[in-house]
Amino acid sequence: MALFTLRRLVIFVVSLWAASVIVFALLSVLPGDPASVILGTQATPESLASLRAELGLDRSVVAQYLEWSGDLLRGDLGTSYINRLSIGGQIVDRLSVTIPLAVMGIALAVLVAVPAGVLAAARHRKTADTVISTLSQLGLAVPAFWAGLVFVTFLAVRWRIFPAGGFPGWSDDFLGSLKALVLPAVSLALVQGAILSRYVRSAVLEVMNEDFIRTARAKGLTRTEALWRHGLRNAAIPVVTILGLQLAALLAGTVVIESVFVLPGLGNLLLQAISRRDLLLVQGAAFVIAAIILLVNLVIDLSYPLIDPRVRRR
Amino acid sequence: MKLRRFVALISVMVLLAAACGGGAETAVSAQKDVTIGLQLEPPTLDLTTSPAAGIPQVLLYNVYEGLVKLDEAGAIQPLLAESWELNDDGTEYTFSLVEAQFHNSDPFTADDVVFSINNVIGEGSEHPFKETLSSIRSVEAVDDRTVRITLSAFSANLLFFLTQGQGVILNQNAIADIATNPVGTGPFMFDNQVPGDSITLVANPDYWGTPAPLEQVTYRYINDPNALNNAMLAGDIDILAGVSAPELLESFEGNSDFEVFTGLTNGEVTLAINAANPPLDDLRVRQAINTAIDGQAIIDGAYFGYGTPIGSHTTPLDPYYVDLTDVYPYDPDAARALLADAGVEDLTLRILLPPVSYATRGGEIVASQLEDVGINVEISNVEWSVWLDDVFNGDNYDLSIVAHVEPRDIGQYGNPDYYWAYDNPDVAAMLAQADAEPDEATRNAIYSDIQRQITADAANAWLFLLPSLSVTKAGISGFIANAPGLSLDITQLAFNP
Repeated sequence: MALFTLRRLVIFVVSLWAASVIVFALLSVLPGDPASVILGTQATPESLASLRAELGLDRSVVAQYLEWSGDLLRGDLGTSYINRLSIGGQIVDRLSVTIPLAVMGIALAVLVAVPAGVLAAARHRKTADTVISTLSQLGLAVPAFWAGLVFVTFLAVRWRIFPAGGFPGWSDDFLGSLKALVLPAVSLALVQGAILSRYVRSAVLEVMNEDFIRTARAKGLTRTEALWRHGLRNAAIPVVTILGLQLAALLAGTVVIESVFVLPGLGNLLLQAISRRDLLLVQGAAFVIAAIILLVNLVIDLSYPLIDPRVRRR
Repeated sequence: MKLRRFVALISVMVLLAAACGGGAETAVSAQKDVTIGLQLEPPTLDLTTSPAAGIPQVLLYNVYEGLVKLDEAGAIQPLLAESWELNDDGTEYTFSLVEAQFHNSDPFTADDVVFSINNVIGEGSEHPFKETLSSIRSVEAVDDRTVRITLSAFSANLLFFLTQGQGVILNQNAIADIATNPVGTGPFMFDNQVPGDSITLVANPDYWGTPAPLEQVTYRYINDPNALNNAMLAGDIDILAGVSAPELLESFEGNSDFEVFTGLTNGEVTLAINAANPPLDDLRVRQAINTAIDGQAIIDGAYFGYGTPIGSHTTPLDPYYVDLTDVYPYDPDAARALLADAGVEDLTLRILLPPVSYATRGGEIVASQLEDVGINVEISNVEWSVWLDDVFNGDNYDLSIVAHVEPRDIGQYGNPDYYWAYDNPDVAAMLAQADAEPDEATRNAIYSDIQRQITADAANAWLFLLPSLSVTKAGISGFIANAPGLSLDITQLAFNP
């Protein structure tokens, strides 16, 4: 168990380092001089030179990476040269929108998909199965941003039940903030829930064909009892793995959904930073997203032994 | 899990959603607070270091005030200076100041003017518009209510520039927090910013002049034009200022709940012609391009019919504007004749288009119109960084389309190193003469001649004037549709009772 945990931690740290290299490398090969883009048509040779020096663009790429990653180790993401605010602080601010949104999205998806998937498996090839499979097929086909736009058109513009977008801020208006996240979370959950329910269904179906279920039924349990007592926990491992992947996709998906619903989240910050060519901020935000995804995967990995004791011996 | 339980779960969720939906109604009568939807959030609130147009859009005239301001028609009006005098040789302005105080209760005096102007022009200043005030040699406080600005030589555009962000009067005691808490003398005070979402201003109860009718203004930043549109349709915002996607306006046109405004701006959408690349150095070829282009077709195709035709690098907001739209009427036959006359055959031109819809759409139409008269056009759609490198800072292009949004920028035609490489020493001399001419009538006459000359030289082809498109809820008065400067002036904005 200790070895298992240690191995996962080492993989996590190495991946984190690799992520920092990739994020940095990708941004440094972008065409165009960031200093001239920032200063635009107002640039003078002197102001360009002084901005380049300030941004460290006059030094070698390796030196720039070492300085950035060194600060990163100390938990310092630097200061944005566009608005002179701490990058770490800005990211934390935006995470207070993105994390609740992603959690609400995944929670909604789980709440709907797990019961639906189990039901479909339990009623294999019966009406409920057909209905649920058809609905999930439909959910898969609909992109989250399109669902969001449809929700906005009807629930916000036509009937005015929800705001069309925006976010009042947790401290100013808690209920209003919660309400602002409902439509985006539902849009995200729609797609992720559809995917998840199909995995739950097939995982449960597979488990129900296992020998231990047959043994349990031979001992006199009904199909449903066998499913509840032995099937679900065994079906959980593939489902939890998918959930981890989905959470990653969800975090990436918030970039689009935040822009549809005008939420001041991390995805929105990333887009804004890209359009302002705030390279340090783009770097920081991309790295933080990568780090969160790696962290989620680490947690999922570490949860396997808790779900399935057999993993501990590996 | 029974199907019934599953249905129950869904119903609970639907109920929850419906419950969340209640209580959204707000009183409409005698509304004193307004929400304005804008597209580009300012990256910082510090206009002394950032050239971002989003900063003066919100702060200029509303929070910050200068000695002078621009009115709706683009004319210069008194603000913190109630009057001013210029000496006979045009080298000394003397301003008489109003009695006012800053939002932090500090009194406004001549020393603040001295401080603010030196903050722009002083040694080591990194003000993005430092150059525009370079004609100022010194500024001194004569007494508390009088300030004198001494010029190295008269500059016609100085007062105009003082109406913009570089002319605002700052408070010395508040300068340290200028990026997060701007303090000015205006009718609105900065209240709060939620980065990524909004900026809020509240009325200044101790304003020195006529107080603004509104009590609170919230600017909501919505980057996506569709989302901005939806916010307006959903009633989340009262005013949609600066519509960048004119195709979305049809949902408001003819709807009595909304009012659509089409105002003038300083944005000349210019088909830049690189005169350094033969055969574009030949006047006849440039004239052929001008004649081959049907301006109205471009306005219709690139900007859905919104936009004003222009015939030179000026706009009706300029005090010296001359209508030259009839110099090159659309005439493909005449264009072919000009090209034949110049002996040009099989001409292929490369047009570089920056990533803005008026350029990408307009570029397609320009290309087809030029091909109609026998000029082949290669279209390259490029990112801004490439555009800056290849067009603006290089001369690796033949044609390009961009809106020149800087006000009073006809002076660029006196700079042969500017990216379109227009070189006419007569124009450069006239520009210098006009800028140094203190008498307004004489000056405007010279500027008229300059416009006629650059149009006669077909320095570029001027496609149309970018409109300032806005939508307000019906029943709002005092909205200023024109955008002569960078401010979105909300000081007169009110809801009709």
